Amino acid sequence: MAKLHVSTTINGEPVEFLCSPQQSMLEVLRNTLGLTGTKEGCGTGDCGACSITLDGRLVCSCLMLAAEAEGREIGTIEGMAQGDRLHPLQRKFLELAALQCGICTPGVLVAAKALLDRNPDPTETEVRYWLAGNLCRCTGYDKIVRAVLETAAEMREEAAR
Amino acid sequence: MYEFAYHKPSSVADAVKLLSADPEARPIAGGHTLLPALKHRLARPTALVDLSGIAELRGIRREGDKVVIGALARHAEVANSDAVKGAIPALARLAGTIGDVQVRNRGTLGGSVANNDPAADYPAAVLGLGATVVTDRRRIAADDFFTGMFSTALEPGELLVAIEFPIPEKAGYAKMKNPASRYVMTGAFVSRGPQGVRVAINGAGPCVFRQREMEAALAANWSPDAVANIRQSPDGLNSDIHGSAEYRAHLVTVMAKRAVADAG
Amino acid sequence: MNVVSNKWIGQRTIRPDGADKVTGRAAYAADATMPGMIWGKILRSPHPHARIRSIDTSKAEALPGVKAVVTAKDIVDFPVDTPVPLGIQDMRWMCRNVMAREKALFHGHPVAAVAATTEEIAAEACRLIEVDYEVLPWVIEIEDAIRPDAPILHDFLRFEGRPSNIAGKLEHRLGDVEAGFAEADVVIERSFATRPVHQGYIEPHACLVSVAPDGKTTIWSSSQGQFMVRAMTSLLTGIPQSDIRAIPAEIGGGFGGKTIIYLEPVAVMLSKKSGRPVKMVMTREEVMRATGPTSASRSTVKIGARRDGRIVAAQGTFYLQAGALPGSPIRGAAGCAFAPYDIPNVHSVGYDVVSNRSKVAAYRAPGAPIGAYAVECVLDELAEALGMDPLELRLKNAARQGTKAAHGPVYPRIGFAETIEAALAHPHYKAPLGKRQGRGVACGFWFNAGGESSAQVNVTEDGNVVVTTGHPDIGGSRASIANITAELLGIDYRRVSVLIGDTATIGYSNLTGGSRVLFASATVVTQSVEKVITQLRERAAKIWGIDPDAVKWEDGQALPAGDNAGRFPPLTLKQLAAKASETGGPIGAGVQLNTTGAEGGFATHICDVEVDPELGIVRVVRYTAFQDAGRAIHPGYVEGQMQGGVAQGIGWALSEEYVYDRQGRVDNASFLDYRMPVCSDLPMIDTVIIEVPNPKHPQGVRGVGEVPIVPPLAAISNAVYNALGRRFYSLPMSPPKVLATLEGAAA
Repeated sequence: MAKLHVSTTINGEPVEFLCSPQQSMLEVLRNTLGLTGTKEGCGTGDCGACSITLDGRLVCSCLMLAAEAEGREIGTIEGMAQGDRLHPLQRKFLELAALQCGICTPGVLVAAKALLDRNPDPTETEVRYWLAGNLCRCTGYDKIVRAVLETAAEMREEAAR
Repeated sequence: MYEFAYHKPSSVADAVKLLSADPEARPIAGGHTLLPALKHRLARPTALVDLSGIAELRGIRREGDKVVIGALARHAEVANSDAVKGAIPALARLAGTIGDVQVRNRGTLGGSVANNDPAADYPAAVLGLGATVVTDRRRIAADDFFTGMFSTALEPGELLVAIEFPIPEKAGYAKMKNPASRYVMTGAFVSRGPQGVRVAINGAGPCVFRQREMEAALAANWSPDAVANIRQSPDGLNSDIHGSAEYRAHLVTVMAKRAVADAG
Repeated sequence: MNVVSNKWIGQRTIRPDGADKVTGRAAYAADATMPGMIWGKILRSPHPHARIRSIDTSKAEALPGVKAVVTAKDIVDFPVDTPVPLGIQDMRWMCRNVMAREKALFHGHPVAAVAATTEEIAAEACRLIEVDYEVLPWVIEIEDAIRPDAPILHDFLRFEGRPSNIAGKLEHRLGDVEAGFAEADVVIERSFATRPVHQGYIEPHACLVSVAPDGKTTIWSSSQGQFMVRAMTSLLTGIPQSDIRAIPAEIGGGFGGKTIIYLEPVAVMLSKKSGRPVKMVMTREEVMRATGPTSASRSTVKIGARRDGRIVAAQGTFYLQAGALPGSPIRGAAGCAFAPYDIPNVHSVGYDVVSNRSKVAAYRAPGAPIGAYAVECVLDELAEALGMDPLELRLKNAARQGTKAAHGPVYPRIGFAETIEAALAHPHYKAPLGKRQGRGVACGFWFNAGGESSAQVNVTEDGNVVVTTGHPDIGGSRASIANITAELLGIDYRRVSVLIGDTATIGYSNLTGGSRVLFASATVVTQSVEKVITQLRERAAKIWGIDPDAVKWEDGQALPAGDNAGRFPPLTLKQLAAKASETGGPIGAGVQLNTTGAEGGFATHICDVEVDPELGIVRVVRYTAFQDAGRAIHPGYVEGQMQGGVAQGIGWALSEEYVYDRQGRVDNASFLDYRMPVCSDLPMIDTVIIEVPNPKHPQGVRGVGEVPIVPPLAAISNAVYNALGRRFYSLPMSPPKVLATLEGAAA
């Protein structure tokens, strides 16, 4: 079957690719575009390791057809740091040891950033429910939740300055 | 996945034309049910008709004594809509508890209702509020829409365009989430309003259904106590690895009670 | 302990691999590609038990795009009558697990594999392979598998002279239990059951393999041991170890489940046959169906005590499901069960039971949670019967230095009692409980392990340090190695890079598992650094023209000591590195050892639950874990291990289980239907690290990773009892089960 030509924006850069109608956004990110920071844990939308943003909204890239990216804006973990400057969430995850094996980390960070972009002052419960779609088997989530809450507090202070 | 073609029409008319011309074509909105099914090769459509480019299917608005929600409204949009929160807060709350954030950002009202998964949330609200399903060719009352497990009154090629929810005086929703999938193990949507008193039960049976005995009791006395002693028969209810029909029957009473409390 | 300063040890430093992991750069196995790479897929048995009469691969081979097909004929056979142990595995079972040989032994058992230009073509080709099966009766559950009329999986297995599904027995005896029970005033005996649970690592098994035309083989894979990958692949393919280079990719979780291989030898044979690099990545469904969960279990535990609370006898019988091939963790169940206590008379027996489900793999403290679940629940009942506080009962009987354990050792200095004392003194233990809440406690033990490790420590020309070890870093061990190296050398930890070597670049190192990595690698790194320091002192002595013994190493620099003190300005690491060539050449040292002296780890946990009695939902609302870590080299990652282990234990107790359908297939082989705890299911998990240094380790390290999963099953069960007044003897305590028990109580 003929390939589809898709023009999209990924991490602020214009990108074009060819894909089959069957291909997921995740497959194209990883196998066609070499953006392997986005991980596949299940392929059925249950683990959140493949989390990306689509026009700013958090979605699982394994359950999005690559063809749907046409004219949209995609954000992945590779676009989170500004040059060599880590996003405050990335820095805080390192400071607080909020990752162990690291396989869920890109998805968790993308999800956490999507939360803080909307809600700069989330409660612990709000963080826990927001991240309920991102499985982590290593940490028990404790340090992840603390890192998100502490980052939010620091970013609020920064903004107030 | 089997191979399929991909179309992205920009109008309802074009979508219906594509779907009518090819009985094996399937519409796709959020894709959160369809794509896993395709990955497991449980379905073999010849083409997917992506509805996301159709502006007519979007939008949430209040029209007099009802709230009209376009089929493409994402769960997150319904949950955060001022129109819905103001007129039918229970519906906004329901939308805000579907799946997880990633699901709510993709899944749509139309997709959920047209799929009629017994463990989905929206069918309970549609039936529990006595809503009207608007398609490209007709209007279908909720009572006539849900016909069985994963089946509805929609004809082949017929497209769900919007749902009109009458604004109730009171409405409430409670559910027990399946401890594994977080789909609905059993839920109850209750309302009192222009459509009378309605109690819709989801998750428990093969298809969402009205609990008439509870409706009668609530019509006489709108309080959690009114339903606390009404037992649902387990006959015909779902049984699976996560809960027996008896367990679900028990949950019907508990959820109805909690839904009434939620409605206030 | 020879480390007295604390500049870096005990600090929450930034892990060396951190920036890569938060930016998506870290390369996991599935992220690797090679020019000309093709894709491998596995055909799996649709039957739980079937003789394979024949396999016809001709149609698959004819499909355009298919480059190679592999069956059991391509994998080296190890006859069943000659044991070939390799670590915790036996190659007789490994060769049959990797590819079904005489029989398919579980639904999902690999039967053949295909490599093709795309994953889709490989999958399509698998569907074209025709397998002629003779379907056989099958059995899944332990109680069915040990019945006299059960279908027998392996006709070569005999137990007590008869064909049996009991593949092995392990027994520990201490004292005389009959005499002990005769002395007891109170005896409690109960039976328990647990379901299989999966390790649940988020990264599916994956590898990329290249067999070059000269036979040189390179494997990038996700494992808990590149040397295990090399050894097993060599044995299963016949390629000498010297021709295999196994490169450890970053590993996306393992928890024991990656101490075994599934894909690598198959990919090697596909690559060898096709002449192309082959990549294989399992789907989540394959992971759930065909990789090792842990055992289901059936246990009976009997404990007797005198009225004063002194335990005088204990007996335990533990049946563990091995899956399709022998090898369940009966040693962990029978050995760890009573290990926290000083009991004069113990009899503990484990039985290894095969049945038609996927072969079990190690899962965090393999077997120990099963043993502790039974023992710690019985202790709760015993405390109640004696009218004692459950922690006081445990403290009274706690194993201490000099205690002889039933599984063999006499303990050196251990920190078990300290964990109980800390729990007794903690505000959590006295905090008031809310409505429908209950509190439970439990303790746990894990052996920990030493074994082979290698390290190389090199000083770079610019005076910084690169440390290479041989253990895949699964939870932050590189950060701890950096702390230790910086501490010993007296330099900033940011000047130390820590890398994991591949099988060609570092000496043999045993698995990442058994809570052994930091214990063992810290030992070899310490000795390597000490050698480096000796070299640095020698270099300085040479420059100064004095005796090396007259040079000391302090704060990252050489200083003249004794009579020479103050005679020369200090020489820093940078200065010495700059002069390395003229003073004798590169500075660096390596050590390879079979480390010993890993001493047991102990923990005590307090758990509060809240129960919704209308729905049967149990929610953990507060949790505090107390553990003797020996020495917490990086407290952040010690806490992380404790929190992660607790979370896994909560899943095991409340929501996780393998469910089989009537056809002998796993009915919930997805993250949708097999639910591990998500963020909104859990509370914060508080940790209290107790440091009673291991006297047999240079930094005092004990293992940390396994112990935290041992107590939760019982701690949660005991808390549910405390909340509801009803005891549960099987897991998981799922809502329908809890509700049924409550209704049973009400009726």
